[in-house]
Amino acid sequence: MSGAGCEVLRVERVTVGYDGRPVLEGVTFSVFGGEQVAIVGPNGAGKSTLFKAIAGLLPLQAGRIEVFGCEPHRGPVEVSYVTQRSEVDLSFPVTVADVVMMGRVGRMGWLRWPSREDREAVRRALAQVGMEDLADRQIGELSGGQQQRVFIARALAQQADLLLMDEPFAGVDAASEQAILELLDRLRGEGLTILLSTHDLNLAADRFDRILLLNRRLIAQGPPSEVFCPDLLRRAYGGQLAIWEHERGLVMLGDGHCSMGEGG
Amino acid sequence: MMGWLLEPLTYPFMVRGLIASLLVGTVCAVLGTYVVLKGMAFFGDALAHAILPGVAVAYLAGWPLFAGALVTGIGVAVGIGYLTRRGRIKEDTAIGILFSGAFALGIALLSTVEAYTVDLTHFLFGNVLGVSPADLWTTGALGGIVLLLVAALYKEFLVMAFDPVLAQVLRLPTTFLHYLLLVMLAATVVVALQTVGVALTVAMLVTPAATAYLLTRRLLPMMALAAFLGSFSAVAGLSLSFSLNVASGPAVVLICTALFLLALFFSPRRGVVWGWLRRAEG
Repeated sequence: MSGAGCEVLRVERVTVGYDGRPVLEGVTFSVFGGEQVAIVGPNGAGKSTLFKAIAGLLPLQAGRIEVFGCEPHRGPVEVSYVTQRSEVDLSFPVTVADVVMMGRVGRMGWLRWPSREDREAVRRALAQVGMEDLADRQIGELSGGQQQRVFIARALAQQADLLLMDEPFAGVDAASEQAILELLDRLRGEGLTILLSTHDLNLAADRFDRILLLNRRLIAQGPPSEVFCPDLLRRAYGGQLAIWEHERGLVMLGDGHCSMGEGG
Repeated sequence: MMGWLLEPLTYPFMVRGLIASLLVGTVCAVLGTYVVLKGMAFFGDALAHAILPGVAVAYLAGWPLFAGALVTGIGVAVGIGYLTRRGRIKEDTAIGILFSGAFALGIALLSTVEAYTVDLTHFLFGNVLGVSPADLWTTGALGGIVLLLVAALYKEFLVMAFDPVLAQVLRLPTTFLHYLLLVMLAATVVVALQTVGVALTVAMLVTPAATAYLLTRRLLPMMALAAFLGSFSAVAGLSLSFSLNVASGPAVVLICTALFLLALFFSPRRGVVWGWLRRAEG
């Protein structure tokens, strides 16, 4: 892909939080074209807050965030965002295809109805998450994992430069987890830039190019082999994490394994 | 049967009443779809009551009632929106305060007139048979604008109603759309004032839309069915009130309610009766 390697996201000395109280302070990092980056950290570390700031949902208290397209701008909105637990009314009268079509609204422009291109983008996005057979179901009739895949398809239909996924595996059934993992592999081939948060340190270590270790500040960033060392993990997780050196390498237990608490 | 339906049409006031009812039934039900889906029933009811002082002032000063009602309606809608957006007090509290205060002011103003009970009754419960040709034009214009906006901003309002976070991510002008919906709601309430009155407007907003909600699974069919149910109830209610000599506003609302109960019990997907049968079989 033409844009591989160029800077897609730059976060510079960002301080952000709610009601004037900072949750994250002085965070600086960049994400480059085609990278898949995992954000890990304990509950309350500010992972969701960081996503909201990048998606433009929270005003910054300090610093700046820039999203550059790698290609000439693909659309009016550069970021797509899959929230952790979508706070939508699932009894709402919309089908799966209707929900995915909502991702196209930003590109369609005012006073336009969906074109053939929009419908094609919706069909393709649903196929990418393996949900094209359920396109006409009402959204509330699906399982939690299937709904998560629909919201991912909606983000794909947006065709943004950067895809943010906040805990996409939380509370998801095994089949959906598998489908999302396969999707991540395929998107790697397509060169889409992805920033994803997860509780699952093993998954982060296995699947991602680069790790951001977060707890109120950016503790460390780099390839998994550098970031997942006991010293740094202890600094991020404190007493919440059990670490021991296994004969085959490092075995890690994040707090998310024991209980599914509120993500931070 | 046809005679029962056609006889009223020989009176011009009845024809005007029927056209007004059709308009009200359609516009209220279409916008009511969002009222039902967003849980704004209390807001709609409050808005209908809160326009009374504007109507009273216009009435006492001899101005067009629509103008007074529209100005107050928009004022109250934006006021409630402002109070809750700032997060000082909870939305239902803000609504309760503004609604009862404005309603009391309206009644106080009207009570300065001697024949006050008759006028108050008309405002509270509507006077559809007293619709003048001028009223009809205003109703048509306001209702038409509301329907045009619903159609023109269909996909934006859909995203706003279903997922406000996505609306923000897509950089839609969420604050503008929020207030626009409130203003459209105020205009709709004004349209309904003459037909069903302040006290029963919320029924026209909520009941046909709720019935349609039970019977459909996509927004556009829900809107279309709500509009059909609303206008059918309006016409049937008016005919019934003519032949049975019942007050027209309540007759319209009672038909809406009856249709809702039918759907509640017999809707194929969400109906109570089919639920029982499925459980009995299972």
